[in-house]
Amino acid sequence: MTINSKQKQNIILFFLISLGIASCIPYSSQRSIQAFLQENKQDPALSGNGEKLALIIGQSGQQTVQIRSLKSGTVLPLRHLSRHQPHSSPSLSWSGRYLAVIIQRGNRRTVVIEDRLKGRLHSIVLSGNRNPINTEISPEARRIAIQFSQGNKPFVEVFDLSGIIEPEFLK
Amino acid sequence: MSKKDSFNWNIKKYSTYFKSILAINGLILISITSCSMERNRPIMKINSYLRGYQNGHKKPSLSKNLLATLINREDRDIIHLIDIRNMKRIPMGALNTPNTEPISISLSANGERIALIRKRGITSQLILYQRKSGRIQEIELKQLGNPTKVSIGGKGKILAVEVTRQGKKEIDLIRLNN
Repeated sequence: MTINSKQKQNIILFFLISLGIASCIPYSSQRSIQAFLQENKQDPALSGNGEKLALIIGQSGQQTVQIRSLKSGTVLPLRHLSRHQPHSSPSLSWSGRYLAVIIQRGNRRTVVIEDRLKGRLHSIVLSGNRNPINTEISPEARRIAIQFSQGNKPFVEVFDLSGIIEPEFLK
Repeated sequence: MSKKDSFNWNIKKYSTYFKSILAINGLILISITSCSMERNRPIMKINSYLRGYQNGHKKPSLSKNLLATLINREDRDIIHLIDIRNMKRIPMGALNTPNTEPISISLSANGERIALIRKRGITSQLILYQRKSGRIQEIELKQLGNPTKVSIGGKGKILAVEVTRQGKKEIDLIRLNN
């Protein structure tokens, strides 16, 4: 098969246009797309009504909690949780109004609950030097269970949230 | 104004000051008390029960009335389920079999459906257990991978599963038909 000069011109033109388009995409966004595809997505937690998903994204040390609407696929805003990484062990109440998650404050791991409706952050005050590992808020947001580690031995404690946050009604 | 009148007036004036100072102090005291009431309270009834188990509990999952944890017995983990209204243990014999070991557990809001990842030999299985019927159903992943963590929606109709594929962690969503 022979290529005539017109076809040669078209091939060169196509190559130059492709090169131009590729160079228009900034290196940083290429890198961020690549980073998103390669990012770990872990620690899934569904809201009680099954409409929202909390998860942890990002590489070691920078893991950040995110909430996604499963209906629209969009990332929902969080007012207080863009820092204090690494985040771990997210859990959601029935509607997803409350997000409980473990964050880093200084050299301590702390359990916090973000009230997405009122935009408030509640810290779970823990006595002693205990290190929270896992946490789960109950669907109606009346209790929270926290797993700690003391030496190599894990243990779980349950806390009453009534009087701190409003309960949710399961629909 | 006589000296006596002036004295009485001063007492009235200062008593008003004292009253307002007392009121302010009262308000401060109330706000301090309400702040300290914001402290979350450990539920002693549940916690003293959990402390009774020497090998410790881990990976808690809460439904409205149930608490599921994993505890270590004879060098392997088993599922421990309690009704937190009366602290009664609910037998989980169907899931605590000798040839399997749970690694992740999640309860639906009414506690009727339990999603579970368990190790069986060198493979990990994703399981849905329905307490009322006692039905154990293995759930297939969309693509091959190693399931490591599961969360079930409150209505028990959807699962979010952390799956490791070629060293990378991903999340699969699985809608359940029944």
